[in-house]
Amino acid sequence: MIPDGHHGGPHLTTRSFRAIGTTATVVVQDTDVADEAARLLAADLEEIDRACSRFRPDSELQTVHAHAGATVQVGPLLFEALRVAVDAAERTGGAVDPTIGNAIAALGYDVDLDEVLTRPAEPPRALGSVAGYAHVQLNPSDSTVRIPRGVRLDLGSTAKAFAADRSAARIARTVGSGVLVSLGGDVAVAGGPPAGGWAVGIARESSASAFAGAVDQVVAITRGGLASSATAVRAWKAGDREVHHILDPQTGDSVPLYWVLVSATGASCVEANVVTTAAVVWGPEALAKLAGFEQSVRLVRADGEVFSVNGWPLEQAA
Amino acid sequence: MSPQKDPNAGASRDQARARLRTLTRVALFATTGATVGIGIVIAHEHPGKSAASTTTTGQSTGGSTGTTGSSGNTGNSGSSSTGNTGNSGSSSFSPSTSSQKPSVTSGGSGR
Repeated sequence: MIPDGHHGGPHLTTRSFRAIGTTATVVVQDTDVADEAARLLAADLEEIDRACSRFRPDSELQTVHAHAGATVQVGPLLFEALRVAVDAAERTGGAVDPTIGNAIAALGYDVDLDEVLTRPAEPPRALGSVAGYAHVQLNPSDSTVRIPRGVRLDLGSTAKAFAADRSAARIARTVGSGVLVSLGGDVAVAGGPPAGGWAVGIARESSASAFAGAVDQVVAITRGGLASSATAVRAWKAGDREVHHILDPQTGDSVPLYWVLVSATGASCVEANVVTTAAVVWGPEALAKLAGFEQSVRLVRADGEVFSVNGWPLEQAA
Repeated sequence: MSPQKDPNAGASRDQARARLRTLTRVALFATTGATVGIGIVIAHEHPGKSAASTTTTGQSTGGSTGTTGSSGNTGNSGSSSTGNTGNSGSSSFSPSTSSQKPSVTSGGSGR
């Protein structure tokens, strides 16, 4: 765990560590509760991983896979994560679909990303099939789920945002202080914000390593969440092809490069994440489709042009 | 000449009062029945609403609308409004720009 210390401006204390294949960060306004907040976040992420991971052989999701074709009773955490994933699919017309598990594994993302990035590139495999979210049957009355035989789920697009929302709310309640939780840039805030709001940097998105870590804009939020979806991160080689983690459920392949970074705010991190992922999948149609949503969105096209939808500020702070 | 019946006589007065009571009850019953009937029709056609309630329809369209494109964050060129129909039940908001040092970065390689 990295104690990042204090930042300029409001008195904020940060703790960061690696979990669920990403960088987990918790920021609090009261230094005395920073370690407790980090401990709570780590415990929450362990729970999420045990419930939702498609890499851990002992996860509850793997039990659902093992019993595909049959009805399986699951715990409340996995059931809620599945409900969030299916809801996201319904709201985006299937652009964000949890049944891409086989397809993303066929592209080579079949183990934790750190391992994918360090192992030798594998020869390309045939694209995997996507059953479609409509085949996921959830029954809230007895907390059961049924997926078709052979289908595998990937909750990656929504579970991280769901986890950020859940942990931010729980930590704020427990420590009695405003808190920001970031899971790889999927940000949720809860409790009272610091003066001026929670400042979040929007990455200068480029595949060029010279820009790695650079910030293009700093925005502040006081509630809800902020999420970004990028095609230059979580990318790897499949044979001689560069692929990334955002798949088009209609093709089972990585989305063609059109938007390189999409960021959004929402009433929750999940709300924000749903539109950022969907926008990447929608490609050139995203601007028109986002008009049907309320979230403020910032989109960076592959040629560097920046677009704003529903009031995302384009100007820089003075 | 046969004697005229005195309308103010006791028996006539009692009969008149009895008829008035009956008419009042019938009118009251009919009014109540009609009200209940109207309520049933409203409840059937507008479940969850009261016959006496006033329903406000319409939905929030959120804050600013439209789509704006710019090159390199230097301006608001290429604006083309697309409107915003909004999704009911959400309470989204726009972020504000900030001059503070960010605690976290979204969208970067730290994912």
